[in-house]
Amino acid sequence: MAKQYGFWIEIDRCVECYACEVACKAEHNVDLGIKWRRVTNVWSGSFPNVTFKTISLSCMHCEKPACEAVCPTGAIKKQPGTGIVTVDQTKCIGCHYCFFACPFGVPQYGKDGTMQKCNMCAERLAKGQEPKCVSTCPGNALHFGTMEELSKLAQEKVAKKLAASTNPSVIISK
Amino acid sequence: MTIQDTWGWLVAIYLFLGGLGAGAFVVAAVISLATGERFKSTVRFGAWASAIAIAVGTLCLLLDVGKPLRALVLFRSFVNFGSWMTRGAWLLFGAILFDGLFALFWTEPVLNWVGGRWKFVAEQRKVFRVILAVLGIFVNLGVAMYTGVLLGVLQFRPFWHTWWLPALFTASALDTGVGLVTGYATLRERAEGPRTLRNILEGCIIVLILIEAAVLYLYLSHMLKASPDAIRSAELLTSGALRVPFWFVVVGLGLGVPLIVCATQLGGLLKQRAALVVPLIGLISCLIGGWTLRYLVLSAGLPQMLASPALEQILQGVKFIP
Repeated sequence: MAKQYGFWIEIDRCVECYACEVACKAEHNVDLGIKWRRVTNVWSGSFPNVTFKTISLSCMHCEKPACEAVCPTGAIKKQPGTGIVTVDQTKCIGCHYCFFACPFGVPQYGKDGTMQKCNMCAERLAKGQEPKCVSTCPGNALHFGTMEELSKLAQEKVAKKLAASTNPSVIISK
Repeated sequence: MTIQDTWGWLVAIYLFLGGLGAGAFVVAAVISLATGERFKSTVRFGAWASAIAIAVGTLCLLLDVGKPLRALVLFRSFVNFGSWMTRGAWLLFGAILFDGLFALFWTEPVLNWVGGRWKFVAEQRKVFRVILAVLGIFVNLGVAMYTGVLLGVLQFRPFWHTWWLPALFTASALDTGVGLVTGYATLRERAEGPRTLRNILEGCIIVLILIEAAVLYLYLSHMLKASPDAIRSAELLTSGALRVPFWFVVVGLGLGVPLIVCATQLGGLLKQRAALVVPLIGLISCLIGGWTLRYLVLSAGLPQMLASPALEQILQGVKFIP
């Protein structure tokens, strides 16, 4: 199998500080209201036993990206060497079809009308650095690596690979 | 209130006009194949209406995208033929050409002008008309179905991900298309005397409305028994936030009123004078119902709340809303 980079998120290490979200926005200088990485609270239970867990998610860089399949222009491409799903904004026409195809609601549209999303900080990877969200996370809740490395690291924990028919490159552990 | 609003009224106009144009062409083509030149002004109207409706609909789609000018360059922007957006763009392009050409072949001044230069066009006009009509029927039925397939292939939108949707949109396309052509035939009654044509068309509308109502019923009852997300979507229409426009506009105006109008017309219950206003009301309510159907189906297309059972387990069975 070709190399596939991915994320591992340790939910019990996350303190909901939003540093990853902010670091991502600053790194990529995205428009107001656009979030390539999103910190979400997932609520459960009913009163009086209500609780929540915080999870930080971005593009899942799926093995079989549904967005790539439906993109009419071929602007969305899965890169063979890294498994990163990229979007070429000089080709995108902003038709929103990928938004409807993605099971995670990842594609977002900026002021210029084209789609944008997490590119796994490809420009930092090229310099041998980790994605900005991962290097910023103060609690080491976010990890980056090849899916092989990450599944080994996550073995000790109750971890699950995020499952969907598109096969996302994300592992989540309690 | 949570409804889908990324694709809104503009895309609904596009889906509606695409269907309306396709339906109008099919009716015009069938009339021309069955009766030759007898109802030529009705055929000409249907042909022009279909070309214009599909062209305007496509324009609405272009206005909705982020980069309309870039999208206009079809051969550069629509290249991934695995995508239904691409297949649809080319299908629409083909339909505009086909319908426009068919319309020109029924427009005397144009035909005479062209026939003056190339004799064979004028001599063989009947052959050209038959070929365009037959091929055009396939292209336009394709357009009608495509407006549903575009949404139907999106597997993470459970309310759209079914073959009932193309079936429903196709039924509605034919229903509104026949309605439009019938409306014209009614206005032209004295000129061409197509009372028999009107009777047949009104009969068709009744049958098509009954088919559309049956498909709508089967579609919703299928969805109300499907996954929790599909049920949430379907309930928006039947008993939720969208129930008023659904029952009053889609079912009442779009299906009920035209059905009553056609039945009274066919039954000869109304005298000539009143009869002109009544079919007009029937036509307008049919068109409003057709657009509202597209708009509400779009609005109710909620995402699947959680595509990943594993995430659900880790998060102790709670629902995750992206």
